[in-house]
Amino acid sequence: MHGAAHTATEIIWGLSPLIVALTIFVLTYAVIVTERINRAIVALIGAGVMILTGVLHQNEAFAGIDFNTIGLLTGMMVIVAITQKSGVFQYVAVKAAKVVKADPWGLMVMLALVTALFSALLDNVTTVLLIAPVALLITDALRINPYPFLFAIIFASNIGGTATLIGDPPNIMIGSAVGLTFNDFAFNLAPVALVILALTLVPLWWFWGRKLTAEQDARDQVMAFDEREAITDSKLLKQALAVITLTITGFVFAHSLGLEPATIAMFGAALLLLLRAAGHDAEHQTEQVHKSFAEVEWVTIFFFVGLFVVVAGVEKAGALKLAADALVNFTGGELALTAYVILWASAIISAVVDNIPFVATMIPVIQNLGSVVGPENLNTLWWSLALGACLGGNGSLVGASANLVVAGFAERAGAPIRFLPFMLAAFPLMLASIAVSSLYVGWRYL
Amino acid sequence: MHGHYPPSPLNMTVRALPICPPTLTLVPEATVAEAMSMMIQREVNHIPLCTTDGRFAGLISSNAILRALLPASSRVEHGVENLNFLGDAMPMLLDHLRDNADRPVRDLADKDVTAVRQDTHLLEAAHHLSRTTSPLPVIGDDGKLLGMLSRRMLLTYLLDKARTA
Repeated sequence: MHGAAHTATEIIWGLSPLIVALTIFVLTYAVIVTERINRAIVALIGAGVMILTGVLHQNEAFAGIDFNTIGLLTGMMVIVAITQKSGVFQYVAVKAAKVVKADPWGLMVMLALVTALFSALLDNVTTVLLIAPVALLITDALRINPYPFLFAIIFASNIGGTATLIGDPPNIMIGSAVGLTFNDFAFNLAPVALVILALTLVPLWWFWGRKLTAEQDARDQVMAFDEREAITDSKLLKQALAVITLTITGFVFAHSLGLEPATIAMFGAALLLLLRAAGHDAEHQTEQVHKSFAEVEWVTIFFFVGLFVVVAGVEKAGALKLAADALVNFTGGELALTAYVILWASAIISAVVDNIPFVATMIPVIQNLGSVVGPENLNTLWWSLALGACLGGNGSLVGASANLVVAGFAERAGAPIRFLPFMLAAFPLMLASIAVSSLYVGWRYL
Repeated sequence: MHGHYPPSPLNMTVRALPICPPTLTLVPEATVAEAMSMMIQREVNHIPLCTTDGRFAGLISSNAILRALLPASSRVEHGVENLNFLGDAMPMLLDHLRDNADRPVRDLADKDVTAVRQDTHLLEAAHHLSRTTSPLPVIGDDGKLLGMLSRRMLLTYLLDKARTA
């Protein structure tokens, strides 16, 4: 170990690898936060510099990339990209509105439930990208202000995403790095996510729900919507639902089959591509596959790749061990205090910065704590990190990508969501969800 | 260069073309309802907007008005593409018509409409025309609207040139 560090020191012109790695890390984060340069570019440049300065060897950089996270994300993105073409999301949203007879408060509850459910099973960004436009369409027909509904969708998507392994990128990263399974997440996080979702509806009702009314003719108009017309391709719908069911069943049994989630997601994606390709000529197949791959959010994927390398650099240089030691000094290594600090700090940090780089950094830090709190207690810290990082995303408009997607869409559609008014309502509500999480962590694990 | 080619015929600019004088204009403060009645009465799809001192201030098109009547989530990127499930949605269309009727017409004006000057080359004017559906506003150095250049006028001019050449 000493030998390796010595070689690295020589490569980077006599500078300490720790200083160099930390400088690259801090600069990368600083530029990501300014949002002046696309985050994928920044992360990849940071990764390149880690290797060029000799902090990491290319092999170490590759080893630092968690291909399980990358594979799971990419596979799910392909599946969703194909599925959404069927119109199933519009179908569900319109159906949900009609179930409650187009009553505004009922609609808000239904949209929150639908969004939470989809966000738990698919990625949040895709979910809100599909639900927000329909929500806006329905509120338009009801002649009511769309803002409370978009607010509810944002909250529901981050809460729903907290519930499962595949719901939100922090969970995917934690699950993959630590070997926690789909079922582990479902058993440990889904119950509290459900409680938080239900409790969140109370202030939503108090702020907005109880005052929302729609005229009868407007409600009749929504009741006249024909959700069956939203399904544009029923063959595709059947294929996609079959593959999604199979994939999620695969996640549930992954652990007992000895499989990683990435394998299941990628296999599901390949299977759906195969079903779509069957019976078409080669040219048509190529076009279809090309289109499906083009809808993968490559910016996010490459952001992950770069970030994993940057974090591998600071970890190799020993910076994350120092961070873990500092955390232990602060908490005295006491499990309960450590868990609460991780939970609250993750939430507040994730409310203002992207939770993906934060979690990528925290994973090795927490892994270093095993010797202090005891390896059998580490899971408590993982659940604290997951709850803090996922729910913290609700704290501000920039807290999660899904929030920005809804805000971007709302702005284009002429119903902009303002940063400060959103935060004034969202931040306290987010803190309340973390308070509930603290009670849960304390009750269940401490 | 000039030794080989006679400069003037190849240096054709918008100045050489006949343009429609701006007899039909609206002030930016006029309402969408006024623009709609003018379009219907005068059988036009585009009306240039001019301030009271004659400066060009945008263009309102029947297409922009129509777009404003559709549900917002259907006219933006990543919106709802299939509207079949809404039925005819007449109440919504009429709601939007009422909501928009009293808005100032500048709210719906095409913001990225390009205006050309008299010394703009003919090719550039043709290029702009080929990328929109509206006629091309021609403005003077003082920003005042001189008139509108239509596709048909440009084609007529070119056809005429081809015949006489």
